[in-house]
Order: sequence, then structure tokens, then C-alpha cells
Amino acid sequence: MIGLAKTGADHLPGSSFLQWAELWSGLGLWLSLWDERGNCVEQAGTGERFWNALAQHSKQYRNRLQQTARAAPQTGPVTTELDPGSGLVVIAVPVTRGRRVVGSLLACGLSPEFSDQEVLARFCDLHEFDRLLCAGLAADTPRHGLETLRAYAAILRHQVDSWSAGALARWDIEGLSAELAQAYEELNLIYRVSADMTVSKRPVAYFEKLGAELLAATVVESLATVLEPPPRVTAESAVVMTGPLEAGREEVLRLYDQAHHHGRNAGASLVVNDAAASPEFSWAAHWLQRFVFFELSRNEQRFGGILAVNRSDGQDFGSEEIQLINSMAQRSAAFLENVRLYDDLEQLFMGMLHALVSSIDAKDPYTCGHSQRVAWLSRHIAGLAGVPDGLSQRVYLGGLLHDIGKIGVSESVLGKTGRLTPAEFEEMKRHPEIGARILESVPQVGDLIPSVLHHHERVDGRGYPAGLAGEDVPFLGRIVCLADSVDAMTTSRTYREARTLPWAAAEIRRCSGSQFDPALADLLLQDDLEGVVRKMARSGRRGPMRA
Amino acid sequence: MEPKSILIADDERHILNVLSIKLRNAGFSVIAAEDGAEAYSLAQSARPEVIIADYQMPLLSGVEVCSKLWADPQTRHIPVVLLTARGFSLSEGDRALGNIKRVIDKPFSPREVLACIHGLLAEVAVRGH
Repeated sequence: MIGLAKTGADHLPGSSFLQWAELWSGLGLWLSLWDERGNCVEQAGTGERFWNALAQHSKQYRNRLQQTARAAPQTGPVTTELDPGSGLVVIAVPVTRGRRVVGSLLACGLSPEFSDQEVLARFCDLHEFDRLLCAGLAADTPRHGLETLRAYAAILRHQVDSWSAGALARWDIEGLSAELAQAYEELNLIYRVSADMTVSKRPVAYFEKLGAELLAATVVESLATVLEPPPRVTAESAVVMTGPLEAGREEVLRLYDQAHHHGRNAGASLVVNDAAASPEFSWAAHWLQRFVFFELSRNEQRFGGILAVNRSDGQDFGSEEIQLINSMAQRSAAFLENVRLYDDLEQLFMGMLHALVSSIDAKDPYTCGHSQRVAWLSRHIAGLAGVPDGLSQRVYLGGLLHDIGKIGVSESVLGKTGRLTPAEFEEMKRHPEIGARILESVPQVGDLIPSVLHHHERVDGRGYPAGLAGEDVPFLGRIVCLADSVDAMTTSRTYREARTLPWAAAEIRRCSGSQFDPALADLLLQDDLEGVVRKMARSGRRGPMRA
Repeated sequence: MEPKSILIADDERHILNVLSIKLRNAGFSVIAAEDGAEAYSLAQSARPEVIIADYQMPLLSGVEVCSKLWADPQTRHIPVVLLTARGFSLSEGDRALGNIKRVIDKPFSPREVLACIHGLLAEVAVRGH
């Protein structure tokens, strides 16, 4: 037996070889399988008395086989005598993978010459084999002429080639499957991250999630995102870090600055695969091996940038992960643009509303800041009543707009000192309906109409304009009614000075159930009224007030 | 310790390839079926720890396989993960089958499927089966 080498040879036929060996031994051929370095990795089983004895006994034989295996050419098969005139023929078939020779299959057989006494003698001398023993062992081994052996060689070649083609295909499938699996991961990442791009999602939370997803799906080790504040806003940049990054905030910002100002083609990402070797970035070498910088910008607006820092396998950054992160960076920039537009619009809307409302309040110096204060207090009361944050913001807007109808009331009535005549009072009473009509044409504030139309209703039904009672008065109306009255009590008017807090509290209690919703009145009375009134004052500049 | 066996069933061979490579690399032994009938028969003979099956398969659908396995006391304990086309949802009756533990959309994240398998095996261990 030839000593076998242990290789991890999945590129050489293993179980197939054993099947071939058994088939060919029926014809008297002895098969052995060799790797590209000339080590024997498989040989035919122990049933072959002659061949096994020869292999065991003759070092010359083993060496010659090894030499033949090493010399196996790309184009085979080659059929030759092992040694000239020895009567022992070996067929060498190369085992290939694509264009590379990865091993060889040797088939040994006996030619008719082997029966000749002289040939046998020479053979046994060469291999130091006992002649009688040799002849005895070889007696049952069939002999084949050269033509036959050449035919066998062709069949062996075909067997090996078929196996090689199959092995190559299996190798291809494995590679393709790995690629496919990676493609599926990336697709899923894109789906999940896209679902997160809602304008109500705050950018920091979004980039925390994006960072986690990218780290899980790629070989990137750490991710740092820098988000700059919008123009004309004085605030610090936000830095979101994911992964085992050993850099502080300041270091990341410094790297971001450098990367951002580094010259490169527009739209291309900056790739630095050996930071230690570059004079610009070697300052960070204790935590930075390599990085890729992706700008977050769109339509000439700059939002910040993403830094992919270090790879978990220590290799250089390549186009695959760069492409994926680049694509996510571009989607994210579009998302940031939308967030900024939305924030801008919201600011614009609120700014305009405040300006509009202030212009109405300004007509009467005593009502300066009134709408802002009512808005604040309405939201506060809504909070006490358990209204969730999103809705309580609408309550704020309702409070802000409640007196908008006053724009339709003549200035002489609005600015009159002293009591109003009945006719003047009737005119004043129209302001809820006027306000509601104004708001009707703006669908986005349709839900605020109740605060405008019904803030002068009373739960006892003696209010205006509709005389609604109890639960029929919309919730918004009941809240604003209370807030409106509290502000009126605690500020000076044209016809009287501001009331004291104890007076105001007593009045709220007295009117609870008649003018005011009793539940809301209770909530306010149980709260810290002095603190509330103080905070309310801060939200809108007030006229003279008595403590 | 003998590796745990997972049965995967899908008429699309590239899905079988992707799954079996991922699972083998994670140390599981994998049995593959290409249609619902083969899946059912292999589930009975090999008694895998977990089954991953496509919904749409020839001969028996993924849900039909689950239904038959659920009805058999020998196999009803085997947890099944169903793979379905995106946007598809199971009917009320389907969801009542106690062996369907999870439904995952295609194209799936192989990482997520592997995490799901580990989770299911941990659950089984806790229940003491």
C-alpha cells in the first residue's frame, strides 16, 4: 500500500474514485489518485493482491508512480510503460478544475509482455521482487494489449472529465448561492430601512436603526453619521455612532471635516484603505484602519455624512459594500430633505398663524398676547384631562385661533372703554361665527372650528351662538371657554383691573357646572393655579396685572 | 454531539441551495424536499427538529403539509416556518394550525431565518420536549 496524504481535497473525486476503482479492478487495472503536489490521496482497495504486494514491496515502484503523477500533463491521457520493457503500463489522466490541473488519476495494468520470462526477470530485479512470488501473484491478473489499454484510457478520461464538470457546477452553485443569500440580505435591509422613512421619524432615531441594519448585513465594523443643523440655526451637529468604534465625538467630527473637504470627484465617495499610511489621516491611526465617506446631500443642500469605519475581516473596502451604503446614503439624503422641508413648512405655518393672531390682538392693548396665553392654557388643561401629545397640539392651535373672528368686528366696538351697549354687544357676539366661517375655507384647520365657534357656549345652555348644553358643547369649546375666562380674569380689561388669584379660583368654583365644564374646572382647581398663571403669562406678553 | 436536522421544502432549487448552505454553515444537518408530498413523507421518516416550507409547492401546499403533520400525534410537535410571497397572508383556518410558528416573506433575509430557527429550538428546549 502507498501511504496516503491527508488533504482537504474536495476538488478531487473521493467516493466516485472508490466506485471507479472497484469497476476497473474487474478488468485487472489498479487505480490510484494523486494531488497536484504528487501525494497519493486514494488508492484501490485491498483485493488486489499483486498490486498491493508490489506497492508495499517496491520503493522503486512507488517513486515511479509519483513521478508519473507529478508529470501528468493538462492534455491526457498518456499511456506508457512504467519502465521501458517492463510489461507494466500506466495510464495517466489529469483531473482538472476549469483550466487548472488539480491532480491525476493513474491506472496500472499488465501487458502481454509481462508473461515473457525475460521481461519478468528484468522487472523483478528492478523492483527486488521474488520471481516466483511475483509470477504467482500476477497469474490471475488479466493482460491487455496496448490498443485495448488506449481504449481504456479514453474511457477513464471521460469518467474523470464528467466528474470534473459536475464538481465545477457544484462549486458554481455554492458560489452563486452565497451571492444570492447576500443579495437577499441587502434587499431586506432596503425594505426595512425604507419603511422607516416617515417624516414623523426623527433623523437621529432613523440613523441609529440604519447603522444597526448595515452592520448586521455587511462586513463594515462601525458606522458614524454626522448630521449638521439646518442653515441659520445655531446648534451642534448630531453624531450617531454604531459598532465598537473607539473614537470620541470630537474625533469623529474632525474626521468628518477632513473627509468633507477632501478633494474628489463630485458624487464619488472617499475611500481610504490605509489610514496609517496617509499623512492626512494618520492622526487617527489608533482607532482608524480604513474608512469610506459618503456625503449626505441633495439639490446643493448639505445634511451631513456617513462614515463607514473599519472592516470586521480586516480587508480593504470594496465596491460591493460601498455600493450598498452609497445607495442607502442617497435614499437617506432624500429623506432628510423631506424632513427639513416638512419642518420648514411647519415653522412657516406656525409663524404665519402667530403673526395673524398677534395683529388681531394688537388692536386692543389689553388683549395683547391674549390668544397666545389662551392657547397655552388650553393645551395645559387638555394635558390635565389626559389628551395625548399629538392632539393637544391641535388644542393649542384652536386656542390660538379662537378670537380670529374679531377681525370682522368694528374697531370702535373692539377698542371701546366702558360697557358695551346691547347693539354693540350683539355685534361682538358674532365673532365666533365669523371666525368659523373664515376657518371653513381652510380644510387643514377644519378640526379647530369647534374652539372658534363654541368657546362662548355654557354647559347650562345659556351661551352663544347656539345655546348648546352639557355634553353637546364640543370638548374643544369647553376647554377654550375655561382658558379664555381664566385669562380674562387674570388680566386687566378696559372696564376693570385684573382680579386676584383667590378671586379667580373662587369664581371658577362658582361657575363650575354653569358656565364651565365641572370636570375641567376641577382639574384646573386641583392644579397649582398660581404656577399655571405665571407660566401662562410667559407665553404671551400681557397688559397690567394685579397679583 | 449529533447535529440537529432541519427539513427544508421548496420547489425552487435556488432557495434550497441558499438555505442549505446557510444552515450547514451554522452546524445543522439538512434534508431537502422539492414538493409537498416528499416533504410530508420525509418529515414522518426523518423527524426533523424544525421544518422550513414554502407555501406554494406541487402536490401538497405548505399549509396542507402542516395540516397533515398537525393531525398526526407523532409529528404535531415539530415547529414549522412558512415562506410566502410578499404581501400574502394566511387564512383564519390556516393560522389555527398550532405547528405554524412563523410566516416569513420572500425574498427572506437568510440571517433572519437562521435567528428564527435558533429561537424555535430554544423554545422547544425550554418546553422540555
